[in-house]
Amino acid sequence: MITEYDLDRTYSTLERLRGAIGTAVVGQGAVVEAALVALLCGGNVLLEGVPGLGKTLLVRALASSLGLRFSRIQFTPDLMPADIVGTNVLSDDGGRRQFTYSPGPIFANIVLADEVNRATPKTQSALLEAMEERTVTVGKATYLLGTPFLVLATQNPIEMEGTYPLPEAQLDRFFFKVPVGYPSLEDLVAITERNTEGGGVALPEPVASADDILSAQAVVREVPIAQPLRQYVARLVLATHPDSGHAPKDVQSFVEYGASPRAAIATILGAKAHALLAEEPNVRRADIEAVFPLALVHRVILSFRGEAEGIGVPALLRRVWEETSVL
Amino acid sequence: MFDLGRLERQAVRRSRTLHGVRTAGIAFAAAVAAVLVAAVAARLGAFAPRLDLSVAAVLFIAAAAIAGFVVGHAPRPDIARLLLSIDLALATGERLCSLHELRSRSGATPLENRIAARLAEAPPAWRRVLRLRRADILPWVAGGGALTLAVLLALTIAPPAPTATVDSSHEVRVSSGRNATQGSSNPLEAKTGAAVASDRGLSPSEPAEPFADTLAELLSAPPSQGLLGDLGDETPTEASSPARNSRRSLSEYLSQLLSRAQADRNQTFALTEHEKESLQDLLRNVPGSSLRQSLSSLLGGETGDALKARLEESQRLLENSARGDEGEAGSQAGRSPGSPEGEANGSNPESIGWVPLPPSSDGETETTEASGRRTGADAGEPETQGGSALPRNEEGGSAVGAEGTGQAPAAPPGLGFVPEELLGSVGSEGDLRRYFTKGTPFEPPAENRAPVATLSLDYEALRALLETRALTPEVQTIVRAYFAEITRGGP
Repeated sequence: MITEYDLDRTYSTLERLRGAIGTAVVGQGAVVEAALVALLCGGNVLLEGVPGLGKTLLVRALASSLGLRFSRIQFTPDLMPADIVGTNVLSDDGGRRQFTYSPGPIFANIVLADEVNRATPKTQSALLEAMEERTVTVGKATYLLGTPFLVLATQNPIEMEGTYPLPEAQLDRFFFKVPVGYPSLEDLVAITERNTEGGGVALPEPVASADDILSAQAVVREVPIAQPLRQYVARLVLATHPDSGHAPKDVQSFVEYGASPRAAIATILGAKAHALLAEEPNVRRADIEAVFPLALVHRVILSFRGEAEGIGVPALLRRVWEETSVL
Repeated sequence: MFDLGRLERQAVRRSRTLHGVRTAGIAFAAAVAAVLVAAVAARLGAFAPRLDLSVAAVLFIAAAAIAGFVVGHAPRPDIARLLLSIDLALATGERLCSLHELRSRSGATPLENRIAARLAEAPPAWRRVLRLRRADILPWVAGGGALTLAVLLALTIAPPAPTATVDSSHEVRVSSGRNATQGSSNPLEAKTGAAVASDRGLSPSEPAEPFADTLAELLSAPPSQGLLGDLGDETPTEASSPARNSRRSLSEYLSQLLSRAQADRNQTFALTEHEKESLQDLLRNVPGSSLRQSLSSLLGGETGDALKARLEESQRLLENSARGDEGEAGSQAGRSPGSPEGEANGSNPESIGWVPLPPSSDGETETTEASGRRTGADAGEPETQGGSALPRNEEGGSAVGAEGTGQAPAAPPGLGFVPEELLGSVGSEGDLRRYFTKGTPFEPPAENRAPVATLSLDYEALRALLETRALTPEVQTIVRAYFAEITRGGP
């Protein structure tokens, strides 16, 4: 049971966080918001965008403002799973040789998995298992990851040669998939100004602690959502299934597989966090609308016909949103 | 503090009322549509529009609306959905339904207090959402009202008067109606209007039929003892089927009496009172006053051989009269519509009108019976007499009175009665003429047409028809004028 103090503390923490990140990252408000929502929900985010859009800066600013441990893993084809989760190494402890576990970069609170699609599936799998289980098993020992734990993976939508696209099952483990777009004119001007004058971009000072985040995560789960809205989310997710009676015609034509139940969970949980970020005491339809495409866009698989005709999943989700009645 | 429970109770009550009203509107429109269908059916002749049916229709519509309200009001709405609909309509941030969700759980939370506080700061004007909008009910009520007006018009406005075109179904009814009654012209079997209607499968509430049907009824009605009888016994032509039937009935009755008289060996044969009454009834329908006077002597109280002689004489007179009929029928057969003379006659448009006939050559004040005798005498020369016989159908209309007069037809008055011939004079009342009508405005086809001479009228039946068939005033006027003309014996 949360208290008024927890609630006030959460609102305060989120306000400070947004202010701190805003000092380092210009624009990209939707991406920052999605990252915070995922953090509050304990989920992981797949950021998709071309290089140079500030993805790494965003993650670093978030970690810095939280005062949490941050690690960055650059995925390459020769990256091995042990390079992520760590390995046992032979050590000499006062003349006594033994294997000791050397943790990998996954042991951090905030992990940036840069260009995750460039690693081999075996390495990708090691990362994604750690993301899902929040544990790492090496040899006979199992190690818990730290809390809070947030993986922000990035992938480049171009230069697909020599990449290993994440399989659908792996994609489903990401809470959100967030597109990172180009900054606006004003934002671009501000970015150039910050990076070309003075001492460059400075990372923010810590404004919140891990406890603050854990407390906020507890509050998020208490945010109420009305039963009709819960049913609405279920209908939305079912509407992405071509065999469902709720599916629009386009979905029936161009979708091979609809979203999994994880999509519904992510939508409701994300809507709760979004409401909290908006300092609302309950989930609104607008909160669902904000997180719905982020939670489903990577969970809907187009059919051959859909891909051949260049149908975009976001457009299909917009159609689903428009054609699904709230009541 | 915001009182969600009170809001929920009021919202539920109002929602049920609104739902009831909407359902009532739909039921109202549906009921009106059903009544309209019934009204259209009535207009098409399925049943007659009556005042009690109109009242029942109004009651049905009212009952449907009430039932719709009850049915719509009965189910209790889902409160969470109702509150969400209010939230969405008022853009309250879904606080009402969220607060309801929190209150349905056990234990108060800080979020519940926050939601309630925000609702208390800005209470939602939920009554604006749960109100009867014009868009909700207006289409149904307007549609229902328009349909109601249409129904009332359909129920109250009399059926349209028939057009000049008579369709084949009417023709069939005309012909079948006539054929069905040609064999039952005995006046003793004359029925009242209701009986006639029932005999023909017509209920008193049967809707208005076109004028042609009414005239078909008139044409096929049994002979009357009413107004036509007042015109004089001589008015029906001898060749008419009722006259023949009457003679036949009388002849058979006389044969029975004669055989009884011949079987009586004691010479004490006399008519009983019952036999006299029957004889009187039969005599009353015998056309021709001279024949009737001759036969009336049977009732003089004679007995034995004298009565037997009277019976034989009467029988002979009847046979002569019957031969006269056959001769006239032969004349008509020789004047069929396809004959050259008939065609020539039919081509003369001036046939509609009066042909003043001179007094008959022998100057006798003979009844039609006498005329029948004369025609019967001529029956041996059908080829020569056929063309000059009296026109009994429309095609032969121009030949009316051609043989007897040779005069040009006079200007046609309204209904086109043609005086066939001057039969004589009756006391101070002036000339006694025999008329043939040109027919009705809606003549059946020639193949279904019977000679006009078969026209016989039962005024009781006619009156019942006029009262029960819901004729339009125009049609009634025409029919009244028609029979007023007949009553006066022509224009």
